[in-house]
Amino acid sequence: MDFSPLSKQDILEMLKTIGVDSIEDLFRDIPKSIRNPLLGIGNGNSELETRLILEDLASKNTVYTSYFRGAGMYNHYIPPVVNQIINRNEFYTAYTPYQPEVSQGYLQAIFEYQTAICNLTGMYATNASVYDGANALVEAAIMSKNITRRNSFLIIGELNPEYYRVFKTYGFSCEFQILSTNLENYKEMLQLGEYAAVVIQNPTFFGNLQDLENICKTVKEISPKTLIIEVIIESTSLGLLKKPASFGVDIVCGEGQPLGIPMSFGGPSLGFLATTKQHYRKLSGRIVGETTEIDGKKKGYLLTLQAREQHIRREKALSNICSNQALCGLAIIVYLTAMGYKGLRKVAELNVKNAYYLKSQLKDLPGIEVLNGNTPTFNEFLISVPTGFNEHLEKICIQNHLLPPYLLEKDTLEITREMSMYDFKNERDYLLTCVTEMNRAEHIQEFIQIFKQAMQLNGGSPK
Amino acid sequence: MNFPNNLKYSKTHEWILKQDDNIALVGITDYAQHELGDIVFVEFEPAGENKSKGDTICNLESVKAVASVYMPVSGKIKEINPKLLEDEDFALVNNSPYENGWLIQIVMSNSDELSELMDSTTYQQFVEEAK
Amino acid sequence: MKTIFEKSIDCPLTHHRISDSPLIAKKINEIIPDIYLETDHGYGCDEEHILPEVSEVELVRHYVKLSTRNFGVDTGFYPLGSCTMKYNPKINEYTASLPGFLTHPYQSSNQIQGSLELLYDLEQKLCKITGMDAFTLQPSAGAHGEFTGISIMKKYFHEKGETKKFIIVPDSAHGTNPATAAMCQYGVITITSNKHGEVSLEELEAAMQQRDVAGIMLTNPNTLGLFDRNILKITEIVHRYGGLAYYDGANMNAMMGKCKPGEMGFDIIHLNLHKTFSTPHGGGGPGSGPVGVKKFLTEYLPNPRIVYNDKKYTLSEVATKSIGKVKAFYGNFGILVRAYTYILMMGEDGLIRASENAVLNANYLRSLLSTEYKVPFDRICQHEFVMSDETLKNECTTLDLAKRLLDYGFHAPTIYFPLIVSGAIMIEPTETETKETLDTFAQTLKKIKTESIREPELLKKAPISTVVGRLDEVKAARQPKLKFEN
Repeated sequence: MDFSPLSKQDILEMLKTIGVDSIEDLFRDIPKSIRNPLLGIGNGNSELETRLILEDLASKNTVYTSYFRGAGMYNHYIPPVVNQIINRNEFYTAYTPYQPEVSQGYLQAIFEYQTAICNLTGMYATNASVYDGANALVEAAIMSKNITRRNSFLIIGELNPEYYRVFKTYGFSCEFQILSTNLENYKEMLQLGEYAAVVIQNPTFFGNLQDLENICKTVKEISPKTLIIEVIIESTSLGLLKKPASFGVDIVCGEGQPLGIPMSFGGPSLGFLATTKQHYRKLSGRIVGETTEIDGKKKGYLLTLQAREQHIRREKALSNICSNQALCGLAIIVYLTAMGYKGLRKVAELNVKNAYYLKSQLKDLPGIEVLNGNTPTFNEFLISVPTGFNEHLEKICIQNHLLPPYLLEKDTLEITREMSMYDFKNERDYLLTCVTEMNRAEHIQEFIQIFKQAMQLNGGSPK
Repeated sequence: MNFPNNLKYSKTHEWILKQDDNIALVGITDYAQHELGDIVFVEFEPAGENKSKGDTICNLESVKAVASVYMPVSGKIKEINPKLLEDEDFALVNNSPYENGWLIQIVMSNSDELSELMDSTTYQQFVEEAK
Repeated sequence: MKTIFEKSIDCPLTHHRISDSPLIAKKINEIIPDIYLETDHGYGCDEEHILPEVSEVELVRHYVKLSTRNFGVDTGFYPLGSCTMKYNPKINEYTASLPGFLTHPYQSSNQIQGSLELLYDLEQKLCKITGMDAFTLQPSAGAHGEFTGISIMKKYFHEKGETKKFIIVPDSAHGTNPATAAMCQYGVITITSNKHGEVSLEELEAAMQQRDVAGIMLTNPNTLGLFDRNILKITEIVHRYGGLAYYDGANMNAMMGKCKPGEMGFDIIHLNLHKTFSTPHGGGGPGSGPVGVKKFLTEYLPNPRIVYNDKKYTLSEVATKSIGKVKAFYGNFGILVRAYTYILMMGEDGLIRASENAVLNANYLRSLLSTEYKVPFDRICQHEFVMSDETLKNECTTLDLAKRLLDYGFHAPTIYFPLIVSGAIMIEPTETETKETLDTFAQTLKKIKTESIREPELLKKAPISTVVGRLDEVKAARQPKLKFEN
């Protein structure tokens, strides 16, 4: 099957117009020795066959009724209106709005997305989005490097290990240093170095709420030139927690997936990046702005401040980023409008309450320790369990179509160790547990029962 | 196009006005602002830094281009035009390149370097040839 | 048109999308201390609205109205050069949204065998199409792929203990190429194109000889739409001086089954699945920019990699000298499903025909237009060609022509790029357009040229039929308004 509408007759006429004898002549600039290679990818399939092949593949994956796992990607409710809108052909088959006169729809939608991100974070300006949360952190770091002309970063508290890994990759290529510390030692670390920025995730990888007011104050006291980057991965928390701007954070970056984007095995999602009035001209990536027609009459939108970007600055650009995640940005503004602030707050509260309920039911079981049991958390918390327990838990959970908590693997623990106040022991396993508004009450109850059952199987005897 | 007599000019289209023994004002020429089009932002290097002749002073952004401005002589940036830095009235660079749209004031470290620059007649010829 | 924020109604709506927690009756501040909580404003009658508060019908009407103020491939001809705006088959959207594919990224590998099999097979097929030995599907876009590729180059020389300081980029390159090199802390050596629009071999050899060059970044066919006939010599020269050759696959739509970058001598390449492999551009993203390498660089690819062993697929940290991760999770999976669907459906013959017809369409348009417009490098082109505004009269420019095309219901071509052609108009029709569309487009461009002679005002005032006319870019940049404020 193919999608080219040219008939044999068309092709003959076109070749004649061009003045060549065959299609082959059009490729005569390619050296003969490498022209017309075999691909070896097999014949095409009909649409129906293709559909069946893909349905077969999809059916080999396991779909769960309830997810107790987050760790950077979260199962949230997406109102059906979101998909209806983003599937409008005029949106999803468009490209970058280079011709604003025929792209007012998208430009306005992205302008509205920018407004929502600024309002939720309290920041002055944001760009039209980047690839994902981890890349938003990288862009925030590059920005800080350009602003401060300093070259090292200090992570304070538990940062998502995948973000840490991506950050490290860029650290090597873009030549900056990354250090990590915990809430106990960060003051000392701040005194030792000159950092472009500190990086603080909130809620942390383990779900803890950070006392940003105090941390930010301390950072500014000890190291006034160092910028503060707040990383928000569970972005529904923006409906409940104090706005980053209220603590004097310089750059907010994070992941927009929780706000209306399906998990889809981790992508596509969206990275947001917002900053203060002082630094907005150092933002990388596309930005939509409002203006008027040249004669000043009608209002309109366009891509603006383009002189920052690679297509104009080339090797002097702040970053090489070219695209944004426009369709995901559209999904987010439709989601946020569908929910409203009140609805978003309700989602956030429900996450906190469901997770709090599960946490309180598990934390007093013998042999178990919820490490952040007495700390305020959002929708995740960390359970320490005896080794061997998790195999039982996973097995029964999967049998019952529940996705069990995320077991922190060795290298993840290694990365997190320096950032954390918690003491990880070799003879224990650590389970990062997540509950959202999508976990129904009966599934949470079922999970508690399974948890107890797994303890029994593992030799424990909870009362 | 305007080429005031009291200024010295560089090949990269900066002008410099000696105000005092070692104090001078620097901006871009009428020709340069015309070539660039509407200036929408100026990104300055911080004041107080010592610069050599040819070092970047600032980047001028128009809608579709960026151009660097260079030190016509060596020295220290003493002051940045507050109407640009604080008031962000960037149209001044276009509308009044030799007066209100000056960029920086410098303390020259070697005012002898001024003699290496062009006078207005030479610069005017230089621009004619560049066209 | 008002923003959605201006349509907010003053008093709060009652929200029914989410019910209350049946498990906990406590108030939120009995669980989380007040110091962490945003005070409960944001939707009161007197407060400014943090988010829009509208009914669902108002929401739907607003965004449907916005969609009608937007132009996509499904609206009409979109000959945007270098962007490959081909038709996006609807089956792609269906397969990508199959519930089985919407898994959590941390499901264990035996729970996602279908997804891993798809990714593994897609990697294999991309290897075959491009002549590379291994692929990673992790990068999110072309520029992200470039970063990945140049990082691989950097790590490779680092491991070898060699210091390399420069990357060579031709003056016709996409802006992302020099930006990527600079981001990876390389100096950029720009080499000029010769009179045929191809890389100057003398300049290339001189640069390789005189400086510590890590490699070259090249697009072939280049941004003029021309296949560089010296390609084998170019990669040979780069290799002879110990450099690596990077292929920017933005223009791969001309090459499927015609020539493999691996056989041109490239060591590292990226593809843009949203161009060549029909995944929708989404208004500027999400895209996908897989990176392929030759065998000797496999160990440098980002971890994790997809491994097939004992009839089982796993995501494994097997690359021993890996540059690390470039994305939090494994690639823009939803986009990869679409591209895979497309490749399965097209098969070998289908892909070859796509490239052939893309090149045929471009040459046909070039032939129709080169009598009226100046085509600076007028020879057989590949998937696109570049003409200039030189023959327009009365000081009408490329910008005027682009805007006038909008009045005739076409999207404009890419304009003022590549930089080496003054007033460039870069046209890429793709294979999914009919001859009739191309004929009409060519006639329209001829008509616009005539208008520039007889009624130049029509061009200078264009567009007049769109929802807004030309916008004030200077005002937008001098006093940026980047969000809605009351």
